[in-house]
Amino acid sequence: MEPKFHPGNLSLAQLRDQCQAFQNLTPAKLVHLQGASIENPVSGQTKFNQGVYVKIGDLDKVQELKFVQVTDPTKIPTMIGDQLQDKFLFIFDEILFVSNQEQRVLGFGKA
Amino acid sequence: MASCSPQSLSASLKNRIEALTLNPNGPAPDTSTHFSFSPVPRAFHPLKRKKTMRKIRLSLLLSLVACFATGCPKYKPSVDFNDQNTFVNKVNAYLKARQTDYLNALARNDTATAKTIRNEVIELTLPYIDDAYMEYITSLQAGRDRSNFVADLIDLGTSAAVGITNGERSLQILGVALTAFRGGRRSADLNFFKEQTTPILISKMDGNRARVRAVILSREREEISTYPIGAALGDIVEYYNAGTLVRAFTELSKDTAVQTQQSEKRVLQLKGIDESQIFSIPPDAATDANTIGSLRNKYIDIFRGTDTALQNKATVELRNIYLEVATGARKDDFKPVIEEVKKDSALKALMEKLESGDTNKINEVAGQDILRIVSRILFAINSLKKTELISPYREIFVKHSSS
Repeated sequence: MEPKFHPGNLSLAQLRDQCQAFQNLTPAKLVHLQGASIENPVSGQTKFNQGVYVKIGDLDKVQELKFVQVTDPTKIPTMIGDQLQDKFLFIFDEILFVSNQEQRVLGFGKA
Repeated sequence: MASCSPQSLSASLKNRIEALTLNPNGPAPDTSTHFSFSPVPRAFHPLKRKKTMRKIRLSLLLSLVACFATGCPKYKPSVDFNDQNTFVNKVNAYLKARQTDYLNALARNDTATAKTIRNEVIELTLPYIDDAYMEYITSLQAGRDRSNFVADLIDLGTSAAVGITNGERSLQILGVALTAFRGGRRSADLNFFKEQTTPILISKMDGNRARVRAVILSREREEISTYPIGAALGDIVEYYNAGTLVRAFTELSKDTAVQTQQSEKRVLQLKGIDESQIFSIPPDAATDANTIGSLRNKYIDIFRGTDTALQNKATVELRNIYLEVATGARKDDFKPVIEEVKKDSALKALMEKLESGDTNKINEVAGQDILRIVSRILFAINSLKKTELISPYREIFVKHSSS
């Protein structure tokens, strides 16, 4: 599938909802998400988040997404471990545009 | 940019295939570094010696930790080079055949076909690697021998770590593994080790693989002049390597090293994007779509289960959802969507049975089929960009769904 771009001016919860909605409406599975700065503005915006999705079947469950802001990188292994206990598998660790600001975020998905 | 003449490609591809594909005589030379720790110093400058020794000790400790963490595991998905039926040989045979097709297409200057072949090579090869990987992580999870994991070795692990690190950074470098040692020692319950560390390593491998997969997906859109089959093969091997324990440890070390440095992570810098690539729907529509998605997931769970009574109940609910969409008060709004779904002749036949009003015909349509139909309606709402229908569809879904 072609990468999809989500606006960079959204809050983290809104961005998560947009990615989740795209998964539900396609249907697809998010496999990567990363901030993207666009040289030539589109609809006046230059900050987006590039989502990479793979198609899934009609009767495949859509994974539930959870995005967690990283405030202390030393806690990343613990954060991943905590999410694993809730059966959320690690998807990405990237810099995203959240409310138009760069923010390091971990992404998880639960099938 | 690399030349794309058939001759030069042929020579380079031959070398590339030999180097990258998995050789029956053992790992190819330029991939071997992915699978081994080789901390032998090239220069023993006095100033570098201390660092080098530290690296050696760290590598040894990480190897030890990896060994304990996984019950002396294999470091990569299993590959039996002598078995003609293994995925390696299947992949190699397939690659050789497709390489010929690719070169023939290039010779005809048929770059579109060459690009298609390249993408087919990628998409049909990766599942082999996925299969091997799934088998590998399953055995990794199941195969750990905790009974051999004695407290003496825990002591060895922690004291060795103190020797290396001179302070906080060591703890960061050793990260999760050392934490696991301490957790095990503190509680005398090695379940901590079992439950935390292996999943984290697997998760790291999953993350590494997803990252490479994302690159591959992105590059599949490129022309063969900038992404020839040789580069694609390189990415396929990279995808395989991403699912190895050694790479997981390397990446974990990078993660923890980041703790003492500025992040190396950056946002992408792109020239421009097509407006059609932007996905943005109103927040309320997103919430409604996600509500439908959650209910849909529950129905999928029900039909994957064995509770017949629940499945019968779900079938009735789904039937009511469909009938309200197709024949209810908002049928005109949903008409284009219904017509879109009916382009699938198999589904069209089922939908007409449901709309017939004939109980016998209606009962012939299985619950899972109705779930497929109502799912397709949701997907068609999106593909037709009928965002305004998401909210009414959510209302209908919630109205008839008891879950």
